[in-house]
Amino acid sequence: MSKKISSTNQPKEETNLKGTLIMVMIVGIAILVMWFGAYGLFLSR
Amino acid sequence: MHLHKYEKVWLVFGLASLVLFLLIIGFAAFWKGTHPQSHIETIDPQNVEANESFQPDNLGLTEVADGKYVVNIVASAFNYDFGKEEDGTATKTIRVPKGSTVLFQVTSKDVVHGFQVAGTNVNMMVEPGHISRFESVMKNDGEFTVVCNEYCGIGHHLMFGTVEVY
Amino acid sequence: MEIFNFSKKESRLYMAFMHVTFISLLVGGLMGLLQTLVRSGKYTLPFNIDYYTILTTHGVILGLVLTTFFIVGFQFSLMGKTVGISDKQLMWGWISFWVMLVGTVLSAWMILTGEASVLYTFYTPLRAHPIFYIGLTLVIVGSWIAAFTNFRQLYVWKKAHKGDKSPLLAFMVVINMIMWFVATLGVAYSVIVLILPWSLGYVATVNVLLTRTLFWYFGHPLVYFWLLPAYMAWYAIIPKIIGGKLFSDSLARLAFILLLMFSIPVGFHHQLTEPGIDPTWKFIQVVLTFMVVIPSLMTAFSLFATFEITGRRKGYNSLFGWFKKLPWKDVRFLAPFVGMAAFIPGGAGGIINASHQVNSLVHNTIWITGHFHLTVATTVILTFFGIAYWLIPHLTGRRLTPRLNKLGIIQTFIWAIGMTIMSTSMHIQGLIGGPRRSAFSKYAGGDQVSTWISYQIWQAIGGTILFIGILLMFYIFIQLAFFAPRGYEEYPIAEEEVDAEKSPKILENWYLWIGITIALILFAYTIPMIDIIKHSPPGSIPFDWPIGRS
Ligand code: HEM
Ligand SMILES: [Cu+2]
Ligand SMILES: [Cu+2]
Repeated sequence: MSKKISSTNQPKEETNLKGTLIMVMIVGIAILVMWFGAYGLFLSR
Repeated sequence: MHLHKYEKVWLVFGLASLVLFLLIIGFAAFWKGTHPQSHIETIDPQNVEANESFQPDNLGLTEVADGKYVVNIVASAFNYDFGKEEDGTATKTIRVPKGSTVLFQVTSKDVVHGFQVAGTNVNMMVEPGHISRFESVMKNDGEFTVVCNEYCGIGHHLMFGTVEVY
Repeated sequence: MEIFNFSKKESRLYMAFMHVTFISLLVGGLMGLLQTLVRSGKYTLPFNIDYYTILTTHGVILGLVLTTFFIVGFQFSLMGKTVGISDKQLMWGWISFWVMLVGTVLSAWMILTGEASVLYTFYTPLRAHPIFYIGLTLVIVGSWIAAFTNFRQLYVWKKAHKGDKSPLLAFMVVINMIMWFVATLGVAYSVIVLILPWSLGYVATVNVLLTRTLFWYFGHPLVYFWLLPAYMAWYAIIPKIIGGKLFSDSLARLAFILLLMFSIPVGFHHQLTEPGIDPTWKFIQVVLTFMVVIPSLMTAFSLFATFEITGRRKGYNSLFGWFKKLPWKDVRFLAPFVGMAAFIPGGAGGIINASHQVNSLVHNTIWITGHFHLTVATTVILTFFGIAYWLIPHLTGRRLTPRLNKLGIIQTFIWAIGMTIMSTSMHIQGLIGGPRRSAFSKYAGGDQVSTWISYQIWQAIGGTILFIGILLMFYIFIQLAFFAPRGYEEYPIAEEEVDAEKSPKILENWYLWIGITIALILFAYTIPMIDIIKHSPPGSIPFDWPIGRS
């Protein structure tokens, strides 16, 4: 086990994770929509 | 530790959303004063009448100023005491005009209860030894069921009342 | 990576926990079904059984017993696989099992005889029979024995492997057990010091708010204690099942460390509408609650990335080709995947619940019940089922046959459909004010109440479907435990990429992480606790009659 974190073992090139980004963004939007929906209902009462 | 660039995008987006939520509720709470109910005022649960608000004559609805009301309630298993009608029967319905400001003050003589005017933002825990208070502007008209929403025993679901906003 | 084989003796211990888990599922599930039927208004319980006796059984058996037994057993097996177990540790494993089981039986006896209809939160000043509290204490003490055995297991391994990083799964188990131990101290203090003497009549009164605050100091980490084993499977087992590798060992460890630090100092988000607690301190804990969302955001990314990398490596290179080609027909993957999907609305709902004043929209409405049937009763439970499909046959030396796999897939669908119906109708009914923890009631009548009842009928439909799912799951369990053909079922543990980045050593600096955890707890709780004690009202005497005790 190496003593310090060496900078040499950075992955050579970034893996393609475009699909992942889209998927998590859908999750993020779902959170935003639900939260603002609930907040709107709270304000209307 | 290596973070993929999309993971950074995602975490920044996520964190920004959380901060946005916190700013909105923080602003509402500290600048507009819409904290959830949080009074630190105590009372002897075995002698709630010692507090003026909860003397039998003061229970129920009182208009304290134009369009401003106070409702005092004593909760006990399995009943809300909203005071008495003129004919001596127990009050079960509180009637207030739309747009009025109503301060609900509730305490418990025995166990923990809930107090929710279902369909409004009036929702609080009622605990023996504490006074629960929440002021609300009754924006919408209709008949709202008052429910005990914290388990207080086998008659819990039989503990209710009505608030009518006309 | 070193993998230990289980001895017969070892497998028997892990299986013992599984037997209790699935018996609990059957008993608790039946109670759940009865609850939804009663609440539909079309059915009354026979033999004068009280609704709240049933509800207490359901909450205690499923929320406390099933979860704890499965988790302790599963975590023992993870430790056994990755760091090994000695004969002495095995003996302590059995002691923990028996202590927990005796505790469960004592509590169950009191609940079923109507002496403890106080629900699984046992809020004072309702008083249950003292034996109920003793039973709960034993369940907790048993789990502590397991926790310390797990700590010892990793310690022994570390001594034999100086300088090596601990196996990821063992690291995760130890994080979960540290969190559990620190959290249960609160409820143990409440039960042993405050409630038990009072329930025995040695002390006249109890401080209600203090016992509630200590309960919720434990109550939120409790839900993370359920969730973390699911995360263990998602991070370190699912990649193997889909034919991939770990996404990132260090990010997984970091997520677990963040979960340890931020799941405890947040209990006030369950007490937002309570009197007697300063609103500023409530808000501070709301902020801390939002911090604990971050490791879950990281988890979401890791999971999708694992799926995408694995799929692309197999040659499915289009934008979503990797998604379509996931092993949908493998129940070991499908069940946890549905669990993950349920965590999207579940987690979003959690953020709403924790949003300070917005909490009054949902507090103690049936929305909350809908929320945790998504999170615990779907996300966590379906992941546990997903684990059981390979763990049970691995332990009993049998195989998950194609037929049982297929039944598992059907089970997953039944659960998904039943829960969608039940949970959605609970969420909606809650938003329009319907209360939780309530038997059927027409209240004062009127439109509002009849709308609630129409949603309760949907809940009964969803609940019936769910109960069919439970019967099927129990059947699958019995098959895997006793009847499936003999053979070998793999215990899937994902490996790192060959060229994986080394994990920074600081991730295993236990003193640092435990230190920060304790500091955060002290920060979040010291002043409000002093306030609560300083402003105590006269204490509360016990109440027996409201729960039907004479
Ligand atoms: C057949 C499946 C299930 C059905 C039909 C069902 C139904 C219900 C219902 C209707 C309630 C609320 C009753 C009320 O508030 O009056 C409830 C509460 C609860 N359920 Fe379930 N449930 C099921 C499975 C589960 C599972 C698998 C778990 C946990 C792993 C679980 C944990 C809980 C807990 C902790 C409560 C709260 C009890 C309380 O508020 O005191 N349920 N369930
Ligand atoms: Cu009640
Ligand atoms: Cu919580």
